Amino acid sequence: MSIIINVVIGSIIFGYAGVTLYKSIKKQKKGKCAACSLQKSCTTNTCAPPAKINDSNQH
Amino acid sequence: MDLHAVQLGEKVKVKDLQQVDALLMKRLNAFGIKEGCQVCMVQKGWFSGACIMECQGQKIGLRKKDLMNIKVEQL
Amino acid sequence: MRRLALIGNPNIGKTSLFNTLTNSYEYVGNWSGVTVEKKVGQVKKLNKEIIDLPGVYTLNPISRDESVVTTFLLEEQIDGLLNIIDASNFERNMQLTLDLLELRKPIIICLNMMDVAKKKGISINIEKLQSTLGVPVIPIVARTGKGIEGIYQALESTSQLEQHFTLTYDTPIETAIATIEDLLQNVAAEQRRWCAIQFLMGNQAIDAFLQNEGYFHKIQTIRTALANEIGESLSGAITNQRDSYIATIKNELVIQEKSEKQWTEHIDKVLTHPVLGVPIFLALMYFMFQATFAWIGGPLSDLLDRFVGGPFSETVYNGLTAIGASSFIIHLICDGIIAGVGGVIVFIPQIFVLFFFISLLEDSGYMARIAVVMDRLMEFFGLNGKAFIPMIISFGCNVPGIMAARTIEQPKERLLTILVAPFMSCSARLPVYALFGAAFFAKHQSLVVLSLYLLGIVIALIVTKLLSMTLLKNETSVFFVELPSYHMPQLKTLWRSTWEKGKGFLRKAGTIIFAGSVIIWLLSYIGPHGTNVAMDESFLAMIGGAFGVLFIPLGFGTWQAGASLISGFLAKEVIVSTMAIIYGVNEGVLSSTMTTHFNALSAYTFLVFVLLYMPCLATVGAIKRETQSTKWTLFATIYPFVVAYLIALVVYTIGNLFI
Repeated sequence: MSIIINVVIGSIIFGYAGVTLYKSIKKQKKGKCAACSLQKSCTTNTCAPPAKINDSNQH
Repeated sequence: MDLHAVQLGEKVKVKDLQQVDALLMKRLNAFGIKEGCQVCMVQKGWFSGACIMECQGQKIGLRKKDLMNIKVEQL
Repeated sequence: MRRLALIGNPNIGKTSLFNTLTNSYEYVGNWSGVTVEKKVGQVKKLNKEIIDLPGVYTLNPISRDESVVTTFLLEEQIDGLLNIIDASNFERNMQLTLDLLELRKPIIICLNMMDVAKKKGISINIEKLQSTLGVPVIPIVARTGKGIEGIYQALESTSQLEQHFTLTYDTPIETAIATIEDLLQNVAAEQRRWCAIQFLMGNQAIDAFLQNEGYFHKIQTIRTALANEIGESLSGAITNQRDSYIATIKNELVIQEKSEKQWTEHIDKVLTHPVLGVPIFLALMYFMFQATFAWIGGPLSDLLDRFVGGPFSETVYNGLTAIGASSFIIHLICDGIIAGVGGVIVFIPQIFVLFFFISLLEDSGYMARIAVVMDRLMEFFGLNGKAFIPMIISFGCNVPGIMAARTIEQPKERLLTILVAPFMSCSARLPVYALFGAAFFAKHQSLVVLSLYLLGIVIALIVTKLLSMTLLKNETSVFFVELPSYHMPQLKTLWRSTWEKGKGFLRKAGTIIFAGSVIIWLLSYIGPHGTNVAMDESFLAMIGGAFGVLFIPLGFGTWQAGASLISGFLAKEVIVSTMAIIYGVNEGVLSSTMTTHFNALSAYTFLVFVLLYMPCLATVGAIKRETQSTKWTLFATIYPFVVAYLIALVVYTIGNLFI
């Protein structure tokens, strides 16, 4: 009985920790929309990312 | 006379914006600051710091070097 | 009408209205450029979708956040517009309204800030305005939600509203408009006139939109010919005619009585004083930290700490023993999760108090004043006074700080701001300061923390200066900032924006801090010689030790410091979690245990290093997104480490001379 409890608690904790870590790293890598804090309220996918700024000298 | 030379609290009329940087000019125009409009100096920065102007009840902050390019005349 | 766009000048309450209409809690503040990205929300009641756009003065874009609007109008399918106007600044706001009326989409005008207008002695004849422009005009006060029903009614009744507003310009301009209109076959018939006028006014977004059309050359010739014919700039000529039209309306409809002098004028004189401005700002910051640590946050935090470390831990321990959990699980939960997550959670009061003050700063209108006061200093270092706003936002969290840099017009100044924003001490670093502050600097905690925040600003400025002299030489810079009128901050808004910021922290505690704690604990539990080893022989000690060697010259070359600094990359709070796990004790005792590993000087050096050493994972993501450049992201991740090392070395060396 207690073995089952231990295994369940252990796998929940490690499983959850693994998934969260994986998610947050993936989110960071994906950039743009996936990592956007407005993602949940935004339904369009043209979030018009600002163009490269290191080489744009227009104006 | 340029706008920077105006005394604190004095109301003046904008005469000429030709020498103002093109980008800033767009901003000023959009904001309602054009030739012929009335502005008032509210606060001057020290050591050539930014100044605060009032125009039609709205306030904006501008730099000294840009103010020098705005020509005004006394009312 | 199903999709509506919310458009208006900066800082006139678009997002407040958006929040009220959609029942959401988007970020609002009292300075120009809070919204830098469009947001979409649902008006459930009416089954409509509303898009909140960044504020613009005209449709002719200058800065990055503004181009979002024109591009949006050109490329997205929308059925109508909600144009929000500041009633107290009628003339300026009407410029944009004319731009929008010519678009000939169904439009509803919301006359906001009726309360402010009234105080300024302005009254507007609404019925007459409505009949002159031929569109519904609804008076509202967006901050309190007054008059919102009017918008609902207008939205329902005007479902197939058409509008044909036409402002007739001088004959030569009209001829040119007609010729261009005929050529614009690929543009929807209704929008041709608007497109032609915007093109004549030299709107770059329109130029870019039409560039690849066969007739582009032709219409360009028309534009040049017209400019030669009338002998002045086209945008000037068109604007002048609009101005006189607006002046006519204003004379007929707007009554300006003498306004009473507002009490805020006197306050403003002091807050923006050329000499007193900076000391006042510093004093306010000190007050903020005093409240955060000494008056409110600290005592509450101690209470929470006693609860987590005492009754809560015991209950969990007893519960786990009762259900027969193994010692591995008990250790994992009590020494890993409770110590790690709990070690950070106890700082919730401090963080919320800090967030409250940042929200207060944002909502009051003081932010733009700081930009003016700081501009001279910032200019010396190669930045713009406006860059100070993203920096202050970064005190809450670096991610929105980096986003806020979008309002800066010059691309290079913007990049500089993004690169140095992570030096601003975010709230995640607060638990580290609180932990060390309580252990080593109990009496002068606020002062020590203030010194770190200021150090962050100073380093950011110096680095900016160096970068702007070398890698990013700057062209001429423009400084223009609108100073909004002060509002009495509303408790509801303040609470909401505090909660929205705080929620992020709670979410982090449940996700990344949790995950970090589990991993750190596991690494400290297992070692090359098996499980449940002595901490000094664990994998964590090996990894931390290898990294910790680097810090011997800085006075904290222990494996414990090394390990916590590595884990701090996930999120800065994890540094505290790691220490709580490693030193194997709960918060209250942690401070006293630490005094055996650090002295006051090495503790301060450690804090300096933590302040500067590396942007966290989420910030790196934000930098990547905003710069769209791997090169700069890598640079922004690595160079702070070098800076931190050098500064910490200087602090430690100098400190040693005195102690």
